[in-house]
Amino acid sequence: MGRFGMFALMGLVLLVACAGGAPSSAGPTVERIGADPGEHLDREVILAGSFKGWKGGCPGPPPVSRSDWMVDDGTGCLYVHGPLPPGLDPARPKDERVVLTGVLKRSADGVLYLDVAGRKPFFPAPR
Amino acid sequence: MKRSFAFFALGFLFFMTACSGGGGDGGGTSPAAKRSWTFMVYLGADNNLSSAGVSDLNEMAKVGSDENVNIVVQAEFSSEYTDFTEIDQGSYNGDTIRYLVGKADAGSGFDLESGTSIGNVDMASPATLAAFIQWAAARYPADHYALVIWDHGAGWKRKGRGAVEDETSGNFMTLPDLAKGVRDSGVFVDVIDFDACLMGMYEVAYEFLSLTDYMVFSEETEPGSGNPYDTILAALAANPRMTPGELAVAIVERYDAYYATTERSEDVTKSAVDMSKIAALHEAMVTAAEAIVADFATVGAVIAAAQQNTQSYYYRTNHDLYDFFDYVDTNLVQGSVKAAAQAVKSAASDAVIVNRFRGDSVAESHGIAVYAPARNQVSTDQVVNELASYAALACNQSRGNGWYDAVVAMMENRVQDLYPGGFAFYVEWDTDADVDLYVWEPTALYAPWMGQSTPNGTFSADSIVTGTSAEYYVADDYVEPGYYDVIINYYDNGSTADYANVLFHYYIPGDPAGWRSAGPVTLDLSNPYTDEEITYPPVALNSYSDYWYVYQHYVGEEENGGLSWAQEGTKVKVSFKAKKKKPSFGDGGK
Repeated sequence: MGRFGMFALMGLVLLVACAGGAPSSAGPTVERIGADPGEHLDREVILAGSFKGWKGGCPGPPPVSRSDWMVDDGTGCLYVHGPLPPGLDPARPKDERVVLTGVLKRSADGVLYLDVAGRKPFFPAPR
Repeated sequence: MKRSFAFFALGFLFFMTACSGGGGDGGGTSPAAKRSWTFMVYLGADNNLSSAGVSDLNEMAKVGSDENVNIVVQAEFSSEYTDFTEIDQGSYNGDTIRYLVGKADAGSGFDLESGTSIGNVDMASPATLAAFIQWAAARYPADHYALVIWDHGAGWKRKGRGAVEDETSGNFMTLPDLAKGVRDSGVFVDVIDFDACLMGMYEVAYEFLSLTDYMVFSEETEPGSGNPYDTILAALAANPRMTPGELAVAIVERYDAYYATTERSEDVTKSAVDMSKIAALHEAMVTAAEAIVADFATVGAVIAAAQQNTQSYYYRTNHDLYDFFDYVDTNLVQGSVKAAAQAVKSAASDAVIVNRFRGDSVAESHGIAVYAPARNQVSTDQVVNELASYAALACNQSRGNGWYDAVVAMMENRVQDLYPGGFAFYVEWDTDADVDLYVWEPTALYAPWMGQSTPNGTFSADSIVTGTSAEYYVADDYVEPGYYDVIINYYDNGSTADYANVLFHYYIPGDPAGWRSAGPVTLDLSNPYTDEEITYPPVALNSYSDYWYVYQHYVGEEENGGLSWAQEGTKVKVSFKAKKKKPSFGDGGK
């Protein structure tokens, strides 16, 4: 997918989340998830944000595997467990815009993360 | 008596060098007394694994060096990811530090300041790795050396790179550079253990050919905790006369035991290979590659099926080597490829001396993986970049181009013609009504509520599950030819609305307009389509209030009718799959 397309898609997602006249059921954000994890735990969520690879602001070690990576939706940082967005380098993230879907889970250490294992839910998109 | 005195003297010397409660690097420059083993850990934790690195150092200090085993560490941590004040290590300044790890007092943690700083060096440099090995072997000589390479890992891949990241320096060591670091040290390391993700590969092992006797690694990703150093080192301390092979097995078995008794036990693999058997495995791989390339027209379908049906990992292009060739062997009646597959299986079985796994999703792991990508698993730029990196590996420098030739055959001589995809459909609406996006791919109809993956693309999760009034579909980079029809169905009212104003957007790569939109169209249940089957033209003509047949996209050389519902005319009937009962959402959702 071309860069412009990705940009446009991201814009659409933000429109859904933020624009006036938007759907009545606003999607979850990292901030909302953190405020009330039980509402979203073990449920599918869609998140849009910046790809942070292994260099984001999520505190502590990765919750499931050393290859877990981070996404920041502007309200906070969340670890993601599962395949990387195609072509993106976790060691050199460039804030590529991604949209992903997965199940919100909590690790044995109590860390919330998005499990996207077994999915291909990624739209890498430059700003 | 004489022997006892000698041991006492050695013990005294040891305690002079390894201070209780932490480490030190022994001080001075003269060699310490020779031990049975020097267990080196190259701990690259200047990244988000920093806290896990501190934990592992604490595990090592539970055992500590003794009169038989030196535990020698070069480590760097990240103050960005670890609050050193919180763990009473507030004076740690981010330097790279060398330690001889002593036994910590019960209840106290390892003192990060107890070692000797060598400044803030680039842990991702092969020269730094070589210097550490040289220093460790010279300062702490032993009969045997083990080297643990601790950090992120990515197998052979250039993106994500081999293993060992240094955020301060902004570098990540490639697989060839990792081997170079070991080679340039001039020290023969009896056992190399990758405490890192995804390093359990034929390509990785071959890169270290002649540099070590045994290699330990994981086909799948590793949990953040990685190795249980306390139990591994306790085993070595209890039996310092372990052979290198026995230590390799011990690492694998202690690792497996640790994850059998913790909650972090899903999808864990660990294995060890006898490096003296890797040359034979390589020869079998090269022969298999030659056979596959020569006979691809015949065996291509089986190879493609193997790519879809055998054990794969975090990188779906990584397949368990034995499982992959077992599938090929089982599904070919005869021929050179079948014989080659049997030879690879035999060689792989000989090479893997111990293999452990936990978790259903890795249940067909046999200890060593191989890169075997399908065409639609790798994007166009990845084809260029990944294959260039792959070709440069040591295993692909021998006769012919080794397994690389087979990989190219898999990528280029695909059995089924696929066409560029990358198009996307996005639907959004303005109420909490339950609206569903359907995409009729060339051979079947799919929707998010049926699942996220289709033969040619990926859906978002169902809106009723996500709580967001939007659903999307993105085609794979390469897709089957034919028609892709988009149908939007108003399935049910929401808790607050009995209608939805629906907007549809679509993106076709190469379209200079970028995204295009249709709608809004108001959908509701005022005039629902009630037949069990939907038929053309009623629904496609948008005569009902709950269906919007909105778009059709064709993929292929030319529009020739294909399999499209809309193009086939009134004779074609297609039933929607029985819609499963959707889960109710909580008070905060629909």
